[in-house]
Amino acid sequence: MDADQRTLAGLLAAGTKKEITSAVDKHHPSDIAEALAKLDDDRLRFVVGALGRKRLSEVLSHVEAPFAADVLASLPENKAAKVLMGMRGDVATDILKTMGLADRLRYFQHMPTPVREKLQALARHKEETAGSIMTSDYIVLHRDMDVKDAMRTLVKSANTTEGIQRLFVLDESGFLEGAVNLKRLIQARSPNSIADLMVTEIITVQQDTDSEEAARLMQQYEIPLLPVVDEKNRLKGVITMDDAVDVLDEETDEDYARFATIPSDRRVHVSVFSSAMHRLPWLLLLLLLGLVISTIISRFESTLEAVVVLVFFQPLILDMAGNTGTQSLAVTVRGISKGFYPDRTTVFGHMFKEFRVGALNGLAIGSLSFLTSLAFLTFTGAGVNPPFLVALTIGLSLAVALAFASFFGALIPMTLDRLKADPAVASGPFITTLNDILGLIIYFSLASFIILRL
Amino acid sequence: MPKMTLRKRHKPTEILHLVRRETRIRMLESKLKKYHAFDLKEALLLMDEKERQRLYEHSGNVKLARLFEQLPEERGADFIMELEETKAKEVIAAMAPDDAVDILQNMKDKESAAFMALLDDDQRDRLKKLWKYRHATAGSEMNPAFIGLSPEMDVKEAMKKLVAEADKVETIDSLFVIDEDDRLQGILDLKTLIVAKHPLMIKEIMNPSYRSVKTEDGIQKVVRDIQKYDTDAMPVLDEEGRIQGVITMYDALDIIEEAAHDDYARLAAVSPADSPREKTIKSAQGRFPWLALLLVLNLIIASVLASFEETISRVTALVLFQPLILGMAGNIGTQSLAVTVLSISRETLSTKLSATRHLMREAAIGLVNGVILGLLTFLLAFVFLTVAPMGVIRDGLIEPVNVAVVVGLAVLTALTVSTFQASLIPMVLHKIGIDPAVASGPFITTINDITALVVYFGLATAMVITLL
Repeated sequence: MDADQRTLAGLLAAGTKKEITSAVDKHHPSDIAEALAKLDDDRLRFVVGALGRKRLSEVLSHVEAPFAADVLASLPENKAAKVLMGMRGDVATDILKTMGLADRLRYFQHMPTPVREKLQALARHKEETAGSIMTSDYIVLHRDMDVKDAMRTLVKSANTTEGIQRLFVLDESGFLEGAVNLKRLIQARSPNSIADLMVTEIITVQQDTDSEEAARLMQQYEIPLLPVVDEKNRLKGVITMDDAVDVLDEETDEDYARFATIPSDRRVHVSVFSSAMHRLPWLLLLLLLGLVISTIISRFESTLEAVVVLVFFQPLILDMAGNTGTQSLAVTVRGISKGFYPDRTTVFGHMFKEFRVGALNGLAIGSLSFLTSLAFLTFTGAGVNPPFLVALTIGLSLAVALAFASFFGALIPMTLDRLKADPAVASGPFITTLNDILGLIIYFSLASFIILRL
Repeated sequence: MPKMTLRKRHKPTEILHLVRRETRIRMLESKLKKYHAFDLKEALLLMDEKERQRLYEHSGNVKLARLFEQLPEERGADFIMELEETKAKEVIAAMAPDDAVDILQNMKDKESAAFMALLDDDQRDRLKKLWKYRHATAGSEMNPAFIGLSPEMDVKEAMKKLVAEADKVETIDSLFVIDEDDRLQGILDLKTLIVAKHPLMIKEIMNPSYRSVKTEDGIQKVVRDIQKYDTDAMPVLDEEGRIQGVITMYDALDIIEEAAHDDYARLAAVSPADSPREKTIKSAQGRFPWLALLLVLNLIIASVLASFEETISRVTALVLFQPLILGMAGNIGTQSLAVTVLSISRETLSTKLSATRHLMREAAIGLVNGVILGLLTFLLAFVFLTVAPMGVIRDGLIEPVNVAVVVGLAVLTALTVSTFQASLIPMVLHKIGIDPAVASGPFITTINDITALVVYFGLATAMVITLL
């Protein structure tokens, strides 16, 4: 397939118009789209001119929307409008949305009124809602149709409809009554009415439902085409499986990116400087929070000067508390998103459980750390303080710090969720800093008490 | 409005209450029947063993099979052993074979052998066929059921076969045209078949240039291909081009969801099975290994610090900014790590050129942020030490600016190097065949910590101690 790609890229980069027109039908629009993005402007214009209108609609459906808008801008207006009309409604809308109002209106001028209205209606939906990813191509049946009539309807519109795995039963005023699975329809024998075949208890979403929620419903309940309805249960559109795949895939990247505090930008050609600027805010926040930590450490100046070896194990305490907090955070965020904590009892139960998990690991890690740091201090002879007392401080600090770190890892995302903030986004730096502060206070206080007083 | 209640009602909790409280058996069974396997699965994860037994007893075997298909593999293995023998056999037989194998492979050899012995011969053969494929390959995730047509068939015959076999397969969007040796000849879109008029032969209407994957292909690549080419059902071929099964868009959705879940958990070093209903001791056990590893790695850090004992004891003020430097270096490393892991999984770093370019880019980003944050840190540290002088600074032996310069330079260097390391390490791990998402975290944290500390105290030793 790589060799295939190379010849396609070569063809687009250097081929004559005739060669391109004749060879391009053999390739998948997705591959052509990929090759197209690598051409320079002049060549791009040439290749676009060589592609047929229908082919161009398919290819531009597979590129990023802003790029598609640029390509369309290089075409005569009426041709561009026709290319847009050849695309699926939701895809065309995505492209139109990236343009200025004036450009959009110019293309609308060249479209018949019903198409224009359809696209305008789609364009009104906010980003990341079910309405913005639905398409208005679907097959409509009526309850009193016979299986034969239904098959006839299906045969007539199968080629112009993307999703036919499910057919939708509407009454005269467009209210959604039920759905028929294609499998059931082709297995049914006439005479048999659609009313008998259809399922009436079906999962639907509203136009303003979050697109991720819609996609997740499709995944969880294995729904091939998800109907989108308005408040009155009138069918407005359907979401196809490939859109659900795209939404979840993007969402996955976004979550991962958020967790690592990077923007989830899919564009590759962003300048180094703007990438750096995108990552800067969290680092700045960390810098400021870091100064808070500096202030706290400065309170323990005398302890530090008397017991320098404490510094050697400071990263240990902070790393452990940080890591434990993050573990607890990850489990909690996942539980929240899965709806595991619907009421007070479960919320408190979970926080208490995280505390116990932290305490258990605190005991285990604390004892281990006591032994290893004791060995370390005895063998290296570092520091002037009795190794036993220092090791005891380290072990005890870890035991206490881990229990609380784990508790905060659960408390903070739950509080944020209560306050309607996204727990996955905001928790990270809070927890890290809080646990750092907590860990240091426990560590140095115990040190002052155990090593200096005893 | 009624649609909103779908989420609000939280069906798993509803099922949990039902299983706990509904005493009328017939009522319980008819109510349970109405729930989708997904909700039953979510509920099962919230139950204790007695409640689970009640659910098993009063649910149909086919429903249970769907439920077990959705469970995380390790849990599936635990739970299926709670079923009594005949029920277990029926449930495994009704499951999609790829999911059944996943569960069986998560058991001890002895246990899975016992289950295999329960099955009928043909079922056992079907599972054994899938058994040989490596984890996370197309072969291990495919469903062996598909509708095969012969090229010589007429449209009517094909329709008849479709009607007869439709229930055996997940999706009927694509039909597969094969010769006598199962070699794939072409794919027939259901739409084409529906629209086609008798008399016409299948080979006249099929699409002979189809996309396919190999049984050994990695599952992430398969998902990418399905997504890229909008394929409803991707045929999986063996070395000789014989079709072995299909991977559908449903499978792709599931795989994306699972991967998301796993990546997130791995980044935080928790096991994907660490669920709220897990016993405290088990959750703790699952998280312990990472912490223990961290302990060992931190002993290395302690040794590094110990070698700077003199510097630290003479300029205690340095300690104030240590968490700040480590925190920023760690975070910038995680950012770069995440970008790199995402790029690797999107396969945009496959060539030497793109890999080198990525490394240079990340280093440049690190440098830009290093300069900005280094300057800022220098200023803030200077103000901090002037307002609240400490140790040798208060004694007037060193000026605040001397320490502030060290802090600023350390931030600059540590941030640049951290970014570079955090993008290099996952690429190297990927190259030698280790999943970068799993192994990178603790390594990168430790390496970045060590680098930052050596830079920090090294600079301090060179630039401040000499002044004393």
